[in-house]
Amino acid sequence: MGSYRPIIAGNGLAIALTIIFVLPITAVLAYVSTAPLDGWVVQFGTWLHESNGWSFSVFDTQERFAKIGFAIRSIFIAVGISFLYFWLTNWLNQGLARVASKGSWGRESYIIESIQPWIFVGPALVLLLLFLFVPAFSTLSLSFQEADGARTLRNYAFIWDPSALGYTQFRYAMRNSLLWLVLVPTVCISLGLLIAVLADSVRWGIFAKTLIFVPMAISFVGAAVIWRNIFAGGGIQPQEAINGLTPSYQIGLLKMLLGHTASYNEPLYSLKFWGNFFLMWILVWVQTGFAMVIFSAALRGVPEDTIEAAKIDGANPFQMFFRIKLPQIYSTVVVVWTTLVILVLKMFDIPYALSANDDDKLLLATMMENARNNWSVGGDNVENLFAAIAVMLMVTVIPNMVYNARRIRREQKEMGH
Amino acid sequence: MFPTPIQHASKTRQRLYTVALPVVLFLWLLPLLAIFMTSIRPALDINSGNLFGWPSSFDLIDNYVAVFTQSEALRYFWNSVKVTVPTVIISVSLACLAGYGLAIYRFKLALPLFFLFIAGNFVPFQILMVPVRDLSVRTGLYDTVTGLVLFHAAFQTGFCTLFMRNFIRDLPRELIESARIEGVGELRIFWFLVLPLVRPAIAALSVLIFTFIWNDFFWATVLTQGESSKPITAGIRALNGQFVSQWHLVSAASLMAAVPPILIFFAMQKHFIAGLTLGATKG
Repeated sequence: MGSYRPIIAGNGLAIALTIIFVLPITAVLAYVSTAPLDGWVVQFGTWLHESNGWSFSVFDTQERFAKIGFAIRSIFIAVGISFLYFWLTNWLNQGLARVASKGSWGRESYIIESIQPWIFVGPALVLLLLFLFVPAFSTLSLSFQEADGARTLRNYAFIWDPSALGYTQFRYAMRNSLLWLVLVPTVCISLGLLIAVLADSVRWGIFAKTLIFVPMAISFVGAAVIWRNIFAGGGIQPQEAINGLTPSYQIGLLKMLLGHTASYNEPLYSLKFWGNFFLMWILVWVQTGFAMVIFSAALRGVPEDTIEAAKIDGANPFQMFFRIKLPQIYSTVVVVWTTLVILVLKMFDIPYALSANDDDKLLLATMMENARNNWSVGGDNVENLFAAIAVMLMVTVIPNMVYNARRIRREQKEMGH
Repeated sequence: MFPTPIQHASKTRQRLYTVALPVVLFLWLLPLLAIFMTSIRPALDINSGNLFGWPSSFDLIDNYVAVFTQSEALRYFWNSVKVTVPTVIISVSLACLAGYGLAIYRFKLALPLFFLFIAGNFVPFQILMVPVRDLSVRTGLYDTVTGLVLFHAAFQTGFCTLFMRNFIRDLPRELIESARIEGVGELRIFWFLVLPLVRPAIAALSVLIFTFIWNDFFWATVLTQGESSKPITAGIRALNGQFVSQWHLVSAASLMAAVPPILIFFAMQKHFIAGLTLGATKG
């Protein structure tokens, strides 16, 4: 039905243009025409204020109620605009198709159905392109620019050239990122598997799994602060009184168990080289629950008959696990592994929240933050250097992305789509 | 039946299990317990070095009230709510639409488009940082709640769409085909037929996205500056500086920040786990 293509393209273009013009204008009109409502809300607020005798100033009340009024209007307008979008696109799509199809019902429905998916995908696609792909490519182009916009490779030389300033940091960041990449997913997956298997064989396993899973709901910053309580301390400022407070001798639980006194105030995660492992542990603590939950579901999906057969053949629990179950959930392990790898590559919150950003602890992502704060050398092109590191980070993600895309494609084919 | 119920195992192994598992669990949650204990101590305990012993008095309410009265924590908290709730609504509704479009219609670009969304899911946020901040400064969205909502919603569409698409794809197609033959309009099919069927997926996705956004730290630091729009995650870091020698208050603040996602997790545990499983194994 290739002859329909011009019609479909034309109709699609007409719909898109109409939307681009009509929706913003309607939104502006709606905001302008409903503006007086804010006044009423403010009056209502003032009336409440006076009749209740609130203690703070009337001005505060008015400002707050004006904001509330605006928020309520915004919600209604947003909902209204969304409905307008669908009503308008639907109406246009059907109307235009009817005109173009010259009375043939089959042609009409074909044209409608060709345009319909774009109406559904359109809003998300626009957001994705505008805020994800456009910035990503502009970072790419920034990384090949000087501060004044001239083309250059100097930003990459800065991190790859041994005589340049960024080289040492970049080496450290690469080393640490690699360490994290290998260790964190491995430990998470091993622990997750272990717990999934162990917990499945006790009666209160579900309860145990829930508890293991709790850290998953906590933010990385929160987890960092929680573990600082264990790893850090020794008196953050034991020498001097702050604001007249007595010197504090806070000491982390693990430090106390290791016998560190309050005068030794280096957090465990700041130790040279070994500190990295304490930082990694925080991420492991948060993410093990994730691995466990997924594996637990996958293990339950292992067919009973293979297990029964192995049992009859006299397999011991270790053989049962490594020879029978693990191979069958292998694809799930790979998926969890990729998810964790992506997470580790993006990891930024934990070292940053703990200010563990000396050269020895840098990761690719924290190195960028470092770059922003410390590098004002080589002209004013910090942002460009920054972009170069970001591109390097993206490069490390790409193999993973390609691998996953191929896997999904294969699965789609197998499912017959 | 497998795993073998522990009752069938030997006596020593049973005993090992009953002892080892609670110990491991206790150790696992020890940091949480420790921080909770710290958060209910009086400042006196902390200054005198009684950090992990029995508290000399229980100042639960005093400390938590102090966090809210002595700092901007309440405002950070409210900002987090203002950022998270609209983001969840926007990104989940957009994902329902886009997922439906990609799953049900057979058009040539369906798969390439789907891969575009997957790629969006993989992009490390750092690569977007400079342009997005510039964009937000230029459009006046820098340091506003609206800006955070908009950008968060955009960045989550990748994951949300592939999540919903996979779920809708598994619905029986005959249902939709027959509705079409009956002459039901496309929008009505979506609203009255598909949406009720994908309600579990919507719940799971909402819970997940709520946790993601509430716990986000990166964009919170990149796109905010002042007190007026800083969410709680960035706020905790600010409080760290403010309460530098008052661990009991920092502890209380960070526990408070973790309460909403943990509550949501416990309230909707089933959906949360279903969401993670579906999101991970299918995409």
